[in-house]
Amino acid sequence: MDDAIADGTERGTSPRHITVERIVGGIVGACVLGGAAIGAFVLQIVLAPPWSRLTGLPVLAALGFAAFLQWWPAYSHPFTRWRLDGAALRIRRGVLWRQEIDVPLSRVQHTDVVQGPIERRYGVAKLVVHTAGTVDATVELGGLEVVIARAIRDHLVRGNDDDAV
Amino acid sequence: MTTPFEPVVGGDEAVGRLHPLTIVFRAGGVLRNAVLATAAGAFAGELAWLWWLVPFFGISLVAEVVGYARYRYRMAPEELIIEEGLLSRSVRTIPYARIQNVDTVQNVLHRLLGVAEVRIETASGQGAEATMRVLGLGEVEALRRFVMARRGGAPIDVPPAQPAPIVQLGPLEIIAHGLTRNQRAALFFAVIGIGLNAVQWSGVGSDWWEHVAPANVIGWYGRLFRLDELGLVWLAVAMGIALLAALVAVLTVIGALWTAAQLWHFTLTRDGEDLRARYGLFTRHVATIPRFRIQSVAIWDSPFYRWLDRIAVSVETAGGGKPGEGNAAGKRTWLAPIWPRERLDALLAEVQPGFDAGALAWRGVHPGAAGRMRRRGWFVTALVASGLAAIGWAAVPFARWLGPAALIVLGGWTVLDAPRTAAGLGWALTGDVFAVRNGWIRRTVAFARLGKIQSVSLHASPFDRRAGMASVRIDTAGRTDGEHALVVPFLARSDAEALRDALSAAAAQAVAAVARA
Repeated sequence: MDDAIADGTERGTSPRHITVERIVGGIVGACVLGGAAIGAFVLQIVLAPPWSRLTGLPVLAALGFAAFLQWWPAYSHPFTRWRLDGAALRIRRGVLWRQEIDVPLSRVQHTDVVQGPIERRYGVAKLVVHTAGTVDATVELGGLEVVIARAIRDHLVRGNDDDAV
Repeated sequence: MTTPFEPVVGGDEAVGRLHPLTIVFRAGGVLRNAVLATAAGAFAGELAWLWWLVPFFGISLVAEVVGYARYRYRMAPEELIIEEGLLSRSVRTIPYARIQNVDTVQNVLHRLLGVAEVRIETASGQGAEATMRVLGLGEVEALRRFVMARRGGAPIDVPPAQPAPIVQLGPLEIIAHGLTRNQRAALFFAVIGIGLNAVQWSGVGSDWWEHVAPANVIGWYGRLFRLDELGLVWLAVAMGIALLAALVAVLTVIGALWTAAQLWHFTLTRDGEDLRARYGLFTRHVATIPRFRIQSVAIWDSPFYRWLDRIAVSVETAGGGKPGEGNAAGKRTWLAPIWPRERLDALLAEVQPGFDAGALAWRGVHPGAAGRMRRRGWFVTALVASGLAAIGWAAVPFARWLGPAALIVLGGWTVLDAPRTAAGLGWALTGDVFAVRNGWIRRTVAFARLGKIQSVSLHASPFDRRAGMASVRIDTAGRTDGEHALVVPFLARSDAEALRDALSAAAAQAVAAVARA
């Protein structure tokens, strides 16, 4: 896993990323659902009969949101892709508003490989590339297998000591 | 006092301190706070508690004096070292190679006393890397020469003579510039002012005709010309418009004079690799722009400027942005706020040698761009017109004509604007320059050297995708918004991809060339 990844082939991110996202989404969804349930309970007590029938709506909305958080990771996963060659790292992302960003290797100031606790459990990592730019000073690529994230990082930082601004 | 430094190799290192007047300025700051506190106390009608603040101000005064005494800067062979701090010493090391600008600011007091505030800026984008307040003018010049000479890319022996200015602007030019800059703000404040007054007039009550001066005038004219109620309303509207025009005129003049005062005696000189802009009537600014630190250049005009045959030129450098602006690092500096169009090439030859504006091979955007802008314009028009029509129908009888009026005004604007804006859009990739142009009322050309590109991105919204289009933007270490926006919207998808690939490859190559050199 050295320069083999810098072959100019476009690749997707790790399918395990979907699992990680779903777990995170599950936690968020559970919290929102719990909050909505408590809110509905309070409203049930506070409101008079014609309006108290509507207290189920927040719970329904929260359920819909939680379901969305389970569906979205798998749907959006194929839209994040990356490609590395001798000149640049290209990241493609976005489902509705799509973006493709090219970071020339020589413009990389430094890189981070970030892993949260759930990501560690599944061997997934986020690569963060910093440039001296402004709008795109920080470019993130999440959901990579950790070995691949490290290989990209090694490729990005190697033999690059020119950081002229 | 012992210094925590290792002995520096080589004996040409200079140690400096702030100017003794620093104490006066710092004490002035404390004094100002004390006066403010007293004023606040007087306002509250209670002054006795202020005695409790005396020790506090005494301590701050002592702290400022000790702070001055403990401030040292040293010019080591490779870096500027600034040592400061009362209890916890901070030692800041700024390599000369990283310094983007050494700027000075002098307010009226500074100028009277022959001192200046110095701002040392790097590309960090967190405001000035170090602010030295205040230094004597001799020290400032010595520091600047030392830094600029030690920094890479600049010749070591800087000519001591004052070079001939590239740009020197007279009072009339500066005032003309001020007139163009403040129209929108003037309009805004005039509308606010009139609005507030209108609220006041209408809020007096049922007999407001008798109470308020403008209403008296209207009533007087009404009796003179025997106007009916509708006539009175029209008279009021006409007076409102006249008042608005007068206010706009006054505010424009005030704004123009204010802008003119800030850019008074604007001169731009070149000293080796460094451009130096000097300006200001009261507070005098000296901004140093190393030529090779320029991230992007913008050239633009307005109808007024075109009528005068003038343009404005500004550059964006890395770093020195105001803190708290998020990622919006970078600093915009005028090269010439107003400049004769025919002398643009001479100016650019000094600023960006090798760049030829005439050689740019401009290319337009997708032919469907006008159609998309027109559809977007009609959508906004329909939304606003129907909203106003609904308000007029539901509540205010007078507002009934607002809906149709919005339809005519906004619709007419859409028809007029869309094709011209689309025709104004263009890009060029010529030699080592990427240039973007846009606008038809206010026309802008912005360009950047390919070596300054930090990243290239291609964006496609759902509307872009339906029309087979995409936009391309480049990111540099200077802010790329407003006149300096380096974005090409409404490109055909294939053209956008080709442009993106070309920019990306060129950026990588340009850097490789710089690295080899």
